[in-house]
Amino acid sequence: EISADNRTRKNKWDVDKNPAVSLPGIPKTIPPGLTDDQLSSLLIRVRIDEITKKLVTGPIEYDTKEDRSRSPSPVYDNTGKRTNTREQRTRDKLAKERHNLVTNAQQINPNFKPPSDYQPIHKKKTM
Amino acid sequence: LNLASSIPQVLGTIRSNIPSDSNTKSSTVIQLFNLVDREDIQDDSDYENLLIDVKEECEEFGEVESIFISRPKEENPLDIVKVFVKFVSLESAQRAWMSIGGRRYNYRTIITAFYPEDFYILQGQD
Repeated sequence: EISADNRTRKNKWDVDKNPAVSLPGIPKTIPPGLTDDQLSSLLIRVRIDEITKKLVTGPIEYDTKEDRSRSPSPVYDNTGKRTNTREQRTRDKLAKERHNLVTNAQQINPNFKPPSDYQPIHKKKTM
Repeated sequence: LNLASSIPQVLGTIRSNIPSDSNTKSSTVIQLFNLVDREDIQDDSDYENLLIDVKEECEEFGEVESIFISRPKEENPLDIVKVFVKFVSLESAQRAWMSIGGRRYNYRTIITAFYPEDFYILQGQD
């Protein structure tokens, strides 16, 4: 049996019951007449577009105060600028999720065109 | 995002399974989409927290009979996370289907669909 007593973090539902439309064209309910595969494809496409909007025009949203996980030790680049802020880590996570989704979309349809700002993630070179 | 053009853009050719209206046909079972990425529920504790969040939200619309969250297999690119919720009453399911669609969970926009009761077989009771 599921019990709220087992909760180890706060509820992630937005308190706003009627949020402004974040991306025009995202349906609230799945339209009729889709096969299972079309439904999956549509949802992959919706999420790719949702992430693209966050990465290109923002905002990058993340938990700001209560109950968020502990931050890793700060990392700085050679100009002394911190490179692993919470915003940057959220951005990196979104980019990685989108990379996986684009890879899936390309497996489903080799002609799938990734978003124009998309660059495939290559393995990081170690210094 | 244009629905008519985005589907072929991802899918290429239409696959063999049969189109149906089951996504929009009233049922006591609804599906919630786009709550989490596959990788977000690998951990059992994350999976359980998601279950609790879904249960609390859905109970606002009436008594929930059961919830099932699919864990996709890595090798199939079409396998996405699906959250199934079975309500006791049809009216609760209809209200949840209408109201939760467009809501946001973890900064993601939620999309809903109905699901045929006949196909909803709970895999192992809690």
